[in-house]
Order: sequence, then C-alpha cells, then structure tokens
Amino acid sequence: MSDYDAIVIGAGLGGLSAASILAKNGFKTLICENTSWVGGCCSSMDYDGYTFDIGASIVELSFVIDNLFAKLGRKTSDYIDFIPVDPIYGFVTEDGQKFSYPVSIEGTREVIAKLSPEDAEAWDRFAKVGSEAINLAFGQVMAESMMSFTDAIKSTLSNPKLAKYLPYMVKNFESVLCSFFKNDKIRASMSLQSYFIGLPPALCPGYVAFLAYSEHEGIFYPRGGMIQIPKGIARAFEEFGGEIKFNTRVKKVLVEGGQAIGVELEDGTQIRSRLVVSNVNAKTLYLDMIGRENLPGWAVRTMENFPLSIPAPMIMLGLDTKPDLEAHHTFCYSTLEKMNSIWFDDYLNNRIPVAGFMLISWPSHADPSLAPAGHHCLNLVSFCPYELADSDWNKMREPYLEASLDAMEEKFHLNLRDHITVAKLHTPYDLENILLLPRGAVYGLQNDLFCTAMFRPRMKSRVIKNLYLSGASVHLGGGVPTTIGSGIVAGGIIEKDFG
Amino acid sequence: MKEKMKKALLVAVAASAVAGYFSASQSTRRYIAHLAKQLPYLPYRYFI
Repeated sequence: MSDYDAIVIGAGLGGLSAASILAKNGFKTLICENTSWVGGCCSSMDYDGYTFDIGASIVELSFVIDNLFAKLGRKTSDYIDFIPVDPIYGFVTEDGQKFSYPVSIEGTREVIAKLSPEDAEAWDRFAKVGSEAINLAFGQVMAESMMSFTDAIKSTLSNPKLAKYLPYMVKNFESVLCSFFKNDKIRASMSLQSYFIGLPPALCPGYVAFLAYSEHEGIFYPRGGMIQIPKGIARAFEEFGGEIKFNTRVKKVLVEGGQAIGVELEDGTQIRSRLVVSNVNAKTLYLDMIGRENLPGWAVRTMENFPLSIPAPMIMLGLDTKPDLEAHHTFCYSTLEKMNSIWFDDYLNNRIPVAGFMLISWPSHADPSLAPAGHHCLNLVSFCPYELADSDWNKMREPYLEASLDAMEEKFHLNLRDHITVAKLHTPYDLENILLLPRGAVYGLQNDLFCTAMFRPRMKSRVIKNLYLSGASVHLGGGVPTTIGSGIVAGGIIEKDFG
Repeated sequence: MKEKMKKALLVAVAASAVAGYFSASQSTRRYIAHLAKQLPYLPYRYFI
C-alpha cells in the first residue's frame, strides 16, 4: 500500500515544477527537501538584513515560467512579481573601457557600432538568426523530452525549421561567435553565456551562443530575490494539496524487482509511493540513492564516467553605499582566449583562475528591498575547480576572499573595502554540503554536446521502473528556464504513464 | 579488388579526417578532442 502517488526528491525548480503538475492532476504528492527552504540553486538567504541570492541571478526565456503556470491554470503574475532588468550587462575591459548593452536591439547596435563599426551589421544578422533559432527552433526542443533518436527525428519532422539550425548544434560556441563578429572585445562580450552552462566558449555547443540574443527579448528579476520563483511554484503546489517536508534528507530510493517503490529517509523512515521523481544530481541518485547493487554493471560505469559541471563559488557582499556600476551584471573578461584559459589553464590544472572572478551581480539595483535603506548587495561569481593543486578550499577561504576583493578594485575599479558590512563566501565545499551538489557542480552534469538530449540521463529511467528525473542532470541542463522545462516535461511523461 | 577498394576508401577517409583536424582552428581542435574522448561512453549514455 503506497503512502503517496508520487514522492519528489528535492524542492529545486525541476522538482517543484514536476510536483505541481502532478498535484494539479490529482496525484497525492510529497516533496522531500534536504534544506529548510525551496529552490536549490535558485534561492536566496538572509544575512544581517541583506537578502543574497545563492545561485541563479537572473531570469531569461521567461516564457517557460509562463508555460508552467498556464499548465497549472494560473497566472505567473499572481505568484511572482518580475521586475524588468535593463541594461542587461555592463563590461569593464582591461584597458578600463566601460560599456553596457541595453535590452533594446537598436540600442545594443549603437553600442557595438561605437566599439567596432563593422560588427554593427553583424549584430543585426546575429539578432535575426538568434530570434529565429530561439523562437522557432530551440524553444520547441526545450519543451520536449528528447530521450531518444526517435524523439529527435519526430521533433525535426514536426518542425522542419529546426534542421536549418542544426549546424549550430554541431559547431562550438566560439566558432558561432567568430562567424558573426570580428572584434575580439565584442566576441568576448557575447561569450559569458557559455559559462552559464558551465563550459568555456571552445567546448560549449554553438546554439548556446544565441542566449546572448535571447536576453534582448527581456530579462527579469523577481522582487524579493530569486527564491521568489520557487516560492511561487511551491505556493501553487500546496494550493493543489501537495505536501513539502523540509529538513528531510532522502538516503535511499527503495527498489524492489527493478522498480522504485518509495524512499528511505536518513532517520530510517520508509515512505512508499507509486513512483519517485528525483531532482537531485543523477550521479548521486544512481550511485548513492539507488545503489550499485540495484544497477547493472554498465549503468554503474556509465554514471561513474559522466563528467560533472564546473563549480561556481560565490562571494556575497553587503555594502553601506551604492556601488559605481551600471547594470545588474558586470563582466570583466576581454578576450575569448582568456575565457577559454579559465578552463584549459586553470580549471584543468586544479588552479583558481589567476585572473580572479569574472562577474558581479547587483540584485539590489533592480530590487532595493533586498538591502537596508541606502545599502546594497553584490554577488561576485567565478568558476573554479573543486580540488586545488596546492591547497584546499578550507584553507583558501580567507585568501580567496581577499584576492577577490583585490580583483574587484583592480579590474572593476571598485574601491569598496571600507564599505563592506557583510562578506560571505560559498566555496565548492559549501555548495556540496548545503545544496548536496556533488563536488559543487552547480549545473548538474557537464553540458557539452555528448552530454545533451538523448546522451543525458533520461527523464524516464530505463534501468529503474517508475523512476523519473528532473533538474539540471537531464535535458536541457542547468539554468532557471531549463530546469523548470525539465519539470514540465517530466510531469507530462508521468501523466501519460499514470494518468 | 573490392577489398582493396574498401581499404583505400577507409585510408582516404581517415587521412582526410586527420588533415581536416590539423587544418582546423585551435578552438575547433579543442572541441573535437573534447568530444572524441567521450565517444566510447555514448552508447551507454543513450540507454541510462
């Protein structure tokens, strides 16, 4: 006898999205969440009067969130108050030049024309192709499970325009950018998005390059911090009768005769269900929670060999002044080669990038309520290895914080040391301990071409019956719209199987 | 004769792949090398 129809492990965006669809469709659904809050990598924490985001910092492709609420028969605006963000990015180049890209396509063209006149026309072409690629092709792929070649063929046949953009899936991000833009500063300014899926421009699939366009269709920040997105979905879930147990760590997925039949909690409690949805990292799910004893040898080896994504340590600063910045995000790398060197020279050699952190996020610019009156909060984001060649993150906590503050002064010309009221650092160890991200992998498994779509763990497990997956480990990888999309698709598959 | 043709064709394909790889940009070579390392795992990944 089952206690629930569905148990969802983890209240991250994918798990919440799948759970809310199931609850809406009458499934008695329980979410077991390890922490005392919702959202996983899309969340916020309160420290000394400041609200700091602890992962995702902005929302793009917001139509995915609207799709979820539409499926629930609800309106996004009744649950989340999105603030439009403009400009999108500010840049500080090595020679001290500052510029920013507004949301407006024409406004961005003007900025590009000043920096590199020949690239202004290239921007027009890039925006045109990007608009088609995102709206006519890849938008559809995001709403499909892509679990097999059959799914891919069906998707292409139902939307022949997708075939036109397939070359962008085969090329790398860097080649796509270089095929449009000539000036290295412009190329670099469009390259940050490759790290949004945790890869350098040389290894990132080419279609991701069009994220640099998609942001011009509008980017948003939820009033009250990024946690308001999962909170909004959780509210809808609870309205449909769904239940969330916080501070509840799942130790095992119960398997009987090759079938998931519930979960065992850390305290030994067993809860039975007709099906289990996992929103935790797929390596953790298969190797630890399912257990090697319940998997065929080839499945164990496959999961062991899946590469994890790069960790993104984050520094959270509370300030008693307004920082001299122009945009929600400010970025400081000035060539594609330097973007690649973070991976090839530093990450692969277990070194903290010598050039320091790369991105400042300034959420209190969009929403002043995140800090006390007159104060602001910043997040400094970088990409670093989990293992360090000459040290470890416990020893590097203070030196890393100090080096990052130095870099903030040198590269961003921000002299804010005397104005810092709160300074917190989440190292890869913290990400692993707090959010249960193995080795701090914020984007789940690596997101390259051979870990994408049907080469990523399936949303409907083939090796364990009645086990479903959502979140950053499945198609389409880490990110706010992508993980919500995974939950929508997983919920749809379960509806078909059990509805 | 047929066997010889087959072998010649295989050698030609391999040679053009190698030539293509070395004439590609450093970025493309990095990309190909990165993906090539994962080729052996693809059949298994498809079934997990």
